[in-house]
Amino acid sequence: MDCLTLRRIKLATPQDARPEVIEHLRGCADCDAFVRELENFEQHLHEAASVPVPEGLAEQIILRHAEQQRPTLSDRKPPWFSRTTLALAASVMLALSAIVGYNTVQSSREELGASFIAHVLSEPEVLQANEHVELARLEQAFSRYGGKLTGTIGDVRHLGRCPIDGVLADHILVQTAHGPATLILIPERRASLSRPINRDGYAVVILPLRSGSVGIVTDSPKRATEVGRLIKALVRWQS
Amino acid sequence: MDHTAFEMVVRAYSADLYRFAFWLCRNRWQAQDLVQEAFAAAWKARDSLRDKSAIKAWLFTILRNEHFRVHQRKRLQMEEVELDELSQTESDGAYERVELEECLRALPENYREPLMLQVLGGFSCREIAQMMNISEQNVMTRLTRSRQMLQRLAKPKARTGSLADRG
Repeated sequence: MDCLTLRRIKLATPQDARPEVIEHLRGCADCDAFVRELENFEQHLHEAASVPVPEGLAEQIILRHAEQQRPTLSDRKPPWFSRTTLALAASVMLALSAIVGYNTVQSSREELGASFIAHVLSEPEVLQANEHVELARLEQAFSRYGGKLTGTIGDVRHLGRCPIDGVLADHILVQTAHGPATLILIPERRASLSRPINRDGYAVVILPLRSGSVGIVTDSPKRATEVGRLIKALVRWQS
Repeated sequence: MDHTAFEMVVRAYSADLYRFAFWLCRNRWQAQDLVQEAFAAAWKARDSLRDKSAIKAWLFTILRNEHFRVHQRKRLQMEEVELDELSQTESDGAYERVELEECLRALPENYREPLMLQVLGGFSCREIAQMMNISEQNVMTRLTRSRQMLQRLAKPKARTGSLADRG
């Protein structure tokens, strides 16, 4: 084996230790130095490639998997289940909720809004993000909730997935025509809060989605309402 | 694969997959999404996994496919450089991590990808060739050139000598 062949082999597969390689290295000081340098380089290359992994990544994946595997109502209906019983149960529930539910609903949607603001405050660096996220990713996020964007909300500066209120939500920063706004797309928690609530210098409104909600968090109630209107006008629901 | 086995697979491979995803798209948020999507796709396709010992390569392939599906790849034109023209730095052992990270980012995608499969995934040239659907020889060429480029990029001011000279 000549020097060039050895170096070609080692550059492609540094771990290669076939007998011809070992033999050549024993008799060639230049190649031996070359291989030592390469081993040093490999160590640094591995360190550079091993970027930090987000904390709780495996848990987030498992949580999302569990959510997706949760049986739907139609999957787990008991034998006595029928449209009539469902209608009857719905009527009873509606009557009960009309009597005792209003305050609970009001309070739970305010709690949801407060948790959106708390999340925005917990990740202040996101408010400064400018990652030029592709519009396709925003469309993809809305499509997960059954929505189709029919126009541009604005420049998407951040789009990440975060655990909020026990579920995995999309945390989005958009520069809209009305100014910056944080959108939080959350599954399962379907709520409506059209009158903004204020906490810690931020305001939030919530729009119901087909399979969850979108919270709009901004630094002013007026802007939250305006961006809410914008989203309402731009999202169409897919059948 | 049942749910318990799936959870074990997620815990075992999510970090490696994330790192590979990061070097595919060079964005931590996109990488996170990509890993999520890859595991969702893996669960759906779990019946297609015939050889349980090849699960790592199977997951990396799924992630790679997801990446191409979501981010329509813009192939960068490679600079064809003869091996002997490239320089090899002299040994002083000083590679800065940040500098190397920057160089990895700058590496053309079709060089970076097999390199990361080898460095992070620990795959052989044959496995990488199968995953990328290219010849083993092509993989070896890309790996060789990627290391030469990185060494050249990482230490532009170092004393240099050509491989041919040193051979």
